[in-house]
Amino acid sequence: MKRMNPFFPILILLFLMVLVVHEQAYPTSVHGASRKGSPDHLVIGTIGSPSLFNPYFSADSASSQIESLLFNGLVTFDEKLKPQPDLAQSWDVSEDGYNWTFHLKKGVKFHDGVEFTADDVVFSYMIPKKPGYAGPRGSDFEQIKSIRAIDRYTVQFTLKEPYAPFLSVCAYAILPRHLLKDVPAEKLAEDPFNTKSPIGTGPYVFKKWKDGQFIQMDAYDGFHLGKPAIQHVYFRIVPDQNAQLIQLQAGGIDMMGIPATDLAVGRLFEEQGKIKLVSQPSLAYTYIGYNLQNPLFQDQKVRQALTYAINRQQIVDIVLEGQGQVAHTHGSPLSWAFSEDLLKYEFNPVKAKQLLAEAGWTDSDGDGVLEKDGKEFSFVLMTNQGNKTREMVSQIVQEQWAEIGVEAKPRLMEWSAFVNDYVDTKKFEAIILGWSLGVDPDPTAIWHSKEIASGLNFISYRNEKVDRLLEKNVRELNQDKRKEILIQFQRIIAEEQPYTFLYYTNEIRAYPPTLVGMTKHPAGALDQIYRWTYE
Amino acid sequence: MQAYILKRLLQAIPLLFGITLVSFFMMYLSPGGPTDLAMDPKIKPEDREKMMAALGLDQPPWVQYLNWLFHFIQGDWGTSFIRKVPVMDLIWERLPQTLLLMGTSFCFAALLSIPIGILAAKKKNSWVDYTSTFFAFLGLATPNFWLGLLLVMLFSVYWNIFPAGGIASFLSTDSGALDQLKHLILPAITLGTADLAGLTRYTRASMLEVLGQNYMQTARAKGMREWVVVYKHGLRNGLIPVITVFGLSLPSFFGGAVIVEKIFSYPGIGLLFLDAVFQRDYPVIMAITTFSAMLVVLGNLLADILYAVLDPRIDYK
Repeated sequence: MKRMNPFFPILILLFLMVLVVHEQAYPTSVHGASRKGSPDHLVIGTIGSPSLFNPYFSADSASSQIESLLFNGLVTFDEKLKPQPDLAQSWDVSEDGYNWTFHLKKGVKFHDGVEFTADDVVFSYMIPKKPGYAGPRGSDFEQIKSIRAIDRYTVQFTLKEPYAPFLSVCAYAILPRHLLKDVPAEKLAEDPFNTKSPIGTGPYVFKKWKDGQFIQMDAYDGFHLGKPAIQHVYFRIVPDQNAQLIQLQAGGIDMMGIPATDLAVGRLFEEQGKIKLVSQPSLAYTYIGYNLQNPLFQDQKVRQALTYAINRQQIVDIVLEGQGQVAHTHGSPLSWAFSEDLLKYEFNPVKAKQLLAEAGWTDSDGDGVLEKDGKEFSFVLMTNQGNKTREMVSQIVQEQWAEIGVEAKPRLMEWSAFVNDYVDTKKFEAIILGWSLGVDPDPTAIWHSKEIASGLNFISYRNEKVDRLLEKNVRELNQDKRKEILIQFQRIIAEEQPYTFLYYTNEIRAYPPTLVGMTKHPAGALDQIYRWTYE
Repeated sequence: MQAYILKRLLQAIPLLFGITLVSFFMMYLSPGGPTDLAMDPKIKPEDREKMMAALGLDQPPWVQYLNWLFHFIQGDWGTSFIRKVPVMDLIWERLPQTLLLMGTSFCFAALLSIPIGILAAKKKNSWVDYTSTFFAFLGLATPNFWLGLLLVMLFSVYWNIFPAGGIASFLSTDSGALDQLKHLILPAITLGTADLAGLTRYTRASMLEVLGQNYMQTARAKGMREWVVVYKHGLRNGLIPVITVFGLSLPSFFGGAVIVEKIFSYPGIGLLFLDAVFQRDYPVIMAITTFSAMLVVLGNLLADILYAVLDPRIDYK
């Protein structure tokens, strides 16, 4: 038998590889990209699959995005996070802060044509207060003592105590009473309304849900603020980040959020004229949290030193590619309740070393790591797996801390395990995490000492002055006075550095090049979508 | 034969029972739960406790398991913790897609591996043999997530021949059978390549053994044409061990589907399973694990039955 050189197949493979490499790096024309003219639709890419469309039961961002098109609340919050009328035309609050009266818009109709009235408001906001309710929204409605419809277009709420963030509760969706009034509270989560036929007053009507593929929504002709210009909105589910970018390039997706780590790819697509990128500040910040139960971090000087040692501007420039802003305290520069006038710990390794020395940390054995009372300054710095930005930050921070003799050992963990085994149980030493703040600036859930036991104050921060300020903040209905209180709180936090506040992240979104009308709303990517249109 | 099938089916019951027990407690050993996904300042610990109680998660694990088992035996597969719809509905919606994908890649693997394996055995040590061996090892060594991305890069991004994901053209009227097939090809190849490679090797080895048998000489001596000898006398005997491997490769198709479906945004069981695992949606995880275990048991039984069909010496009496 004739024998063949066994290297022959390798040659074939090499040949194939040459063919591939010979192709240009990124082709400019891919099918589907020729969607010019006047498109009547918008395809929004989403990584997560939505769960169900009822905000009293869903807790994922994919669902809440879609809910924001289906439903309206009584009030909404504008770009400056100030409350604005939505289904309520106006409202007033009694002198003592206990009674809130809302005057509703007249003639607003649900997608099925039935008029929206005060009864719908009472029905919806009573859902989380019913005994059989077992959804995630119970505590939000806790402050409400009673709700009653005064007439067809007037609703009055009586609170247990004056509560400044109350208007943010009134942004919850109004559901149609006439469709759901007979469903018992414990069965409401499983009602087909949530998955098969959600009906609201929002700008888009639920049309079709192909599980694992897409959700189709059509413009609602009778929307009370005018019929949306874009006829069809699709949420296309693409569970893989890379696959999503490929779809964006191929024209299978028109709009999506781009993580900072993929910004270079986004810019390339922008140069090719496929998309336009918009980068804007968001309400989210990233921080390093120190477990204050750990003796290592109990000295304020030590925490200040740790912050001094990190070049945060460099992290913003390199890791976020400039799409962010260094943070100094809790809160957001976008909020009305914020002041830039506070203590800032700019990058200063010399100062950091000095502070550590003052706190009694010295490198007595010459191994490059500081010691105090025979114990090395060494700890584990944890973060969740899959967040490339945080992974990179943990490495940079590790290097910069090593410069001042602090040893951090980065460790990545799967989200659920991380939260359950380390954060909730307070077994961590230091963690990199982020907060996405709400439209109301109330920081109680994160900083009040009553939240240490089982709430989100998992770093165990305890300061009686802060507790009192936070309690005052929710009782103060005068916004200017409330702002003063919150700024005092922010200054204390900035000084004590229970976190090293790293940065505010920008949200980067890819839109079709000709789409106009988008707002720069920090919390709602689809804000005022009924005004969006193609040029 | 019927008695044999019945016996095997009965044997499967304790097996499946064991599988559910193991997977239930493995699931419980993994940290976290369905209610601590979002670190949302608006969701308080009290809300969380109420949600846990409503889902029955406040009871000891063994009570939860017995509860699940009790309902499962009655045909009630439970309600998804996250989606709040019956698990069965979710599975039925996704199952046809996954079966189509598995079936296609299975055909792809089987239809190519057998002829290539035979050819390689027939022309042992020729360039055909070397090439097939080389690619078989390459195929076995290539992880499917990488292969999937590579195929998308080549066929979707560079050459624009096949779509990059989904199961039908989005926003187009053209969603007929041809369109679906176009969406099926890349994921099917990705899923089937490793098995194609493995089966080629098995077929080759098995055929080599058969080709050296005396009865092949006899067949040739009878004056039969070569292809009749190889395909009728050789293949039928050579295929028997390959069938076993087919049956055993079913689980790998199911497992591989999880990764492939994610890469290709393919709305099948695998993707559903992946979501469920990350969300700790216990009823969905349990249903899919049990369901796939049942499929695997059935697949193996089918392979055993095919044995008897192909080999008259085997008789299950």
